[in-house]
Amino acid sequence: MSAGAHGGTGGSRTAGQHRDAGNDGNTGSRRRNLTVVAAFVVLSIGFGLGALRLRLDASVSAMLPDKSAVADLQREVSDVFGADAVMVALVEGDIYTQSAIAQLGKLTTSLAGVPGVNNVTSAANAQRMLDDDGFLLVEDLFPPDPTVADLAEAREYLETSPLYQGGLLVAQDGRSANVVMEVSADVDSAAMSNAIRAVLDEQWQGAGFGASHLVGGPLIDGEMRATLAREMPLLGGVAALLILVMLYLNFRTVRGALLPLMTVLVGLLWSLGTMGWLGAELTTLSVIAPVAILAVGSSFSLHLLGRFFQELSHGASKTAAIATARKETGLGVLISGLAIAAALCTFALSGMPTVRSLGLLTAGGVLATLVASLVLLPAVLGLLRPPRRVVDPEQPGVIAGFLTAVARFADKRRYAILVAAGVLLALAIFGTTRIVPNTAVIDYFNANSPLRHDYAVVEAAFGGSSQVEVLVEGDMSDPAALAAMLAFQGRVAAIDGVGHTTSIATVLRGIHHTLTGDLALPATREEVAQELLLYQLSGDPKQVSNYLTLDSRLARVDIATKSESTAVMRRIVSEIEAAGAATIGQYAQLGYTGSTVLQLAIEDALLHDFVLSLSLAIVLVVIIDSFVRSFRAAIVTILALLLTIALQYGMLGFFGIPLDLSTMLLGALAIGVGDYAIHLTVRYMEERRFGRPPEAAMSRALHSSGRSILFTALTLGAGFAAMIFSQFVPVRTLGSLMAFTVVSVGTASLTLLPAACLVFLRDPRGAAKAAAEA
Amino acid sequence: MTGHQDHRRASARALIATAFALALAGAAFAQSYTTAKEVVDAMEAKPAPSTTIATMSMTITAASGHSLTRTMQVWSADEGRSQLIKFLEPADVRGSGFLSVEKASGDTETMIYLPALGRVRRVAGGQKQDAFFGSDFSYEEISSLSGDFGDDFETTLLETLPGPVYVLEGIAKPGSDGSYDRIVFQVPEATLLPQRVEFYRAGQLVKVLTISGTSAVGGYDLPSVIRMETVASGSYTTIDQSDFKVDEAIPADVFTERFLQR
Repeated sequence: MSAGAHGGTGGSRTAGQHRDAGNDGNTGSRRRNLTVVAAFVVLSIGFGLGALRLRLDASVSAMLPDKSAVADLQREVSDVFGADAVMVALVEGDIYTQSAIAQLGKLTTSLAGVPGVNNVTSAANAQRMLDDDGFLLVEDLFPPDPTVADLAEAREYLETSPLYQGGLLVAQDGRSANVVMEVSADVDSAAMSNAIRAVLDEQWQGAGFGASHLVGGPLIDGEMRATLAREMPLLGGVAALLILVMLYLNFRTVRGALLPLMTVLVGLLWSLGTMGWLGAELTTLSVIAPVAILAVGSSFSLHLLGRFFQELSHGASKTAAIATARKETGLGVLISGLAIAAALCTFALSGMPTVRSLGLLTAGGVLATLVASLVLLPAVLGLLRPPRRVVDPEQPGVIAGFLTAVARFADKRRYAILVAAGVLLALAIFGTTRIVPNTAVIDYFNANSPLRHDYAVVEAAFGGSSQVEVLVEGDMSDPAALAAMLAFQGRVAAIDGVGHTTSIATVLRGIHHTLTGDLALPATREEVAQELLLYQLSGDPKQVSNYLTLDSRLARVDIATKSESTAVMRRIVSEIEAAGAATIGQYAQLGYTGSTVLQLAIEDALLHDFVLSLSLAIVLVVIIDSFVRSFRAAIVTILALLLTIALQYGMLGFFGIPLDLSTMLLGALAIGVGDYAIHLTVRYMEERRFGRPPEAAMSRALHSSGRSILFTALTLGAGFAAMIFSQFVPVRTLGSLMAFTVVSVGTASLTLLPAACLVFLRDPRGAAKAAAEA
Repeated sequence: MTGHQDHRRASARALIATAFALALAGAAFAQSYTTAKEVVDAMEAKPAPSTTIATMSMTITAASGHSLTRTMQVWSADEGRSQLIKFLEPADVRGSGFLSVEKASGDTETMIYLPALGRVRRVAGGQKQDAFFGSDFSYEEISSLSGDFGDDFETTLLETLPGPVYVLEGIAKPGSDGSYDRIVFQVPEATLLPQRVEFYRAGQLVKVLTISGTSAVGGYDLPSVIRMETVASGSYTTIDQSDFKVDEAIPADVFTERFLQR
């Protein structure tokens, strides 16, 4: 037992009262402390060099689950049909003019020269096939220097040809044109998107025509990467600043504010450096990790320093204050640190590499910060001279008065608090029933962002910017199967939210129409094979190979869908699958993939991770919290957390916030972050071991640990609040909800937890024994 | 025996082996031509059949492994200026035909007959660079299988490999309307047929042609196993030619619309 811990109320003391503390350390302990500091410096430099090797992979494909049938099918479609990714540029202007068509031609040629762009299709390079009295003509849709008659003829062809009708290349009103680009998924998506934008600016707007709008998966990849590169230092800086302010307000000393940041810096360097040396990559979600490590990690030092300053203020020597802080408060810090890391490690079971990466990065950072808090911080404190002025947490003041009132309230209203918590829990559970999942990538961006605006414009004209790809495996030289495919496309086109559909049946109908004048499919196998042969001879063979394999055993139906919420996407995909089963499904096996279906697969994986990580995190935290030598204490402590988590998800339901990438991770993250409630339980049990009755023990625990809990809540809340400045909707939502979480865990720790302890944990294991020993 | 002695004995053996190999290589390097012009002239001087009739089996294989094999009967005359192709297999294209005749004016008339549609169609728009029936060969390349590069390219001899095999580089002549600006081809002296041709455009390797089998028929060396690979897509096409008949008189009515429909 330390002299200061129970020495009554103190006040501010000057350094003179414990100047001897400066001479406490003998040469041996000073050398030991220096060795510790030197070791941390060397290790941190080593890890820091590793951190410099880190690379960012912000691609949407990095978000894909690694054991997903849908992702495997997407790779197969990409391998077989060469359909990596599609970008669409919509250019505004009076298209059916000589100058616009000429400029569209230049634009098409320039876009084809952009590295990563494999193929460009626009009205300017489209071809038409005509049967001119037995003379099969395949020629450019627009001749060079087209006359007014040529323009009118081309317009009629675009509006009536089965291959192009419906505004595929030029809008029905002639006021905009689409440029469809097949692009490689292997190139730097940001650089390619920027180059495409530059060409659009120069060759369209710059040439005196209208605006242009660009959409496509690589564009979103590029936007995300650019935003992340901009935000990571910004959010980290804002979080550090806010945490610094809170720490200073708590300790009123510069070292009190800086030392926690030192331990966090160590944690960040070690964690990021390990990733760098292992060759791992940061992903979209990684932006959360540094802020989470910063917020959580600083709370470890906050508790240790709080106890250290308290012991000093009660007259303990520096060495004794360090020893007491490490021995008594260190237990709570160790347990909460391990619990947080364990909760975060549950993400390692995720099927998504990006979630695994986030979990391990954050868990590693938290563990490294924990080591720095328990080893480096005491060593640095041992080397520094004691502060001239220390604040006693128990000294009379606003906070002490508040905590006294809280202690009294928890004592007098313990049952009312428990009942109120029960009511809140019931309300929260009701709220969770109203949650709607939505992990649509487009919703990562602000509703008024230029990117969302471009998507809206293109989708209005093009019918959709996302895709459902249907892989059809069967005998596709059978005319009946082709007719069923066309019927399938007809049904799909009637689904709300579906745009153009294209398949080998579309292409064959176009060829047959040209050759015979009938708007129908070839009627026999021979007609199918021979019309394809003819098209291979005179048309673009790629238009066939994009949709049908050489052996006619695999075909692809490309369906454009609007980029809606995942709930709408789910409805669209479900209706497409029903249409497929009723038509082409009778002739062939069908598989569904494409960006729309992939997003649903991501959502399913996230829901699985959500349930798994949350339940596992709860179990792990209970187990680890039991290290305070009482399973009952662990259960009581986690009550505050469970109520908070229920409130979090209840809020999602009541406020219509979707269950998305970040909010699914919220539970396990919160259960780790919020475990600082254990500090109150540890201190309460410590007081009980010294024989104090439950009410007095809780009052003392609240006065000492309560202040740390209060400032931990404020510090963590401030740290996570930095995320509110993010341009990413999920990161912003996570930030605001985490800020809510830490504040509500703080509130629950200061009200519900004391009340629960006074009701359910009056005689924690060991209290009686300790009292007897005393 | 010590390790040092072992090492010295091994070194001596290696030296003898190297000297022997060099002597053999020197014998094999006994070459007949010293300039690119000599090689190209020799290739062009090789006698070529006035007409050829052969069975051609063409297999197109996509990068994904999916493939399609078509078998055709090919009649060719006037150094390929008149060509008739009749499809034999698969069954659903049997009877389809393709006729290409270069007129005196230099224009090429192209016709296709599809029995399922029951009529002959003249085809326009097919360019020399277009894919030959969806394969990795273009019409231009199909007509250059015997290595007829001389007209479009300035050639230089890059090196001579054991064999001897001449490695030549061809740079497209100004004003040439070919698809490639550079080719590199290997010509064994024994056959004077290119065994490997690399086609470049804007510094990028676009296609690779390999002739791995030849047939000696009627005193001619004719390419019989040919493969063309498109580097970017990973697809390739192999042609197996057999049942060669050379210098047989082909009746003039073979290269007509009427015969095409027969």
